[in-house]
Amino acid sequence: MSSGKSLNLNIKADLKEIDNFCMEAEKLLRNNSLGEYVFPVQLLLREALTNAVVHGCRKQSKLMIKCYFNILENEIRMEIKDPGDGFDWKFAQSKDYTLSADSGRGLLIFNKYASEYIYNKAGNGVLIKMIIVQKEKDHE
Amino acid sequence: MSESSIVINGNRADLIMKQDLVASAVNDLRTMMQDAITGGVKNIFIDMTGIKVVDSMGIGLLISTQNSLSKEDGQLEILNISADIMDLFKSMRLDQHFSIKGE
Repeated sequence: MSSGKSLNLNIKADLKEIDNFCMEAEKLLRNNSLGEYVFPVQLLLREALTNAVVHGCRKQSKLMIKCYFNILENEIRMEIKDPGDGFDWKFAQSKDYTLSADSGRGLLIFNKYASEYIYNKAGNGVLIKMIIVQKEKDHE
Repeated sequence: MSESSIVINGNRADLIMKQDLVASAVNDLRTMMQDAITGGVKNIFIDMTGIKVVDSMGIGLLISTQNSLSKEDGQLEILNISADIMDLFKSMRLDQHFSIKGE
């Protein structure tokens, strides 16, 4: 289901489905004059969805991922939930990574671009919030 | 199949990206670059003109490629990246791992 400000979809656990969902989210942002948020939102959505597809569903495309994207007055909300056993985000957050490590940067992206992110207790769902900075109205 | 292409000339390869460097594209690109390295390429130049997003799996691919090339005394160079991607890469200190040039 989708409207002018939200997307509420179940997608297959397939990496190509991430591209499609992100494309729809981009359209919504641009239609709501929020083009400057496309880059950070794409990164945040892609990290959450890739985790769900790769770790939560182990790329089993018969499994489904719940995706919710909503543009509110002051913030953008993204909620992703998979049917997997959950991600130990506390452990991942406590891990330091070396410059030459070729994985483990997903949470760095959350930390850099999200205003707030909250994992559920099981670790298989995440709510990501991004504050919309209000533009000052032009003076006449 | 990847929409990107690679041109090999001696020990140099130029990868022309035609799609964002994201999870769905990583496997094909990894095969492409790994085949080039196996074939004797030591230096890979990636042209990212027009690329809008690089996610953490894409970043992982760049790092593992640089790791493979450095074992052969070679290097990876990323060209024409957008300001947004440059900011992301610098925040992760990737500019200390391989050469990055903006648009």
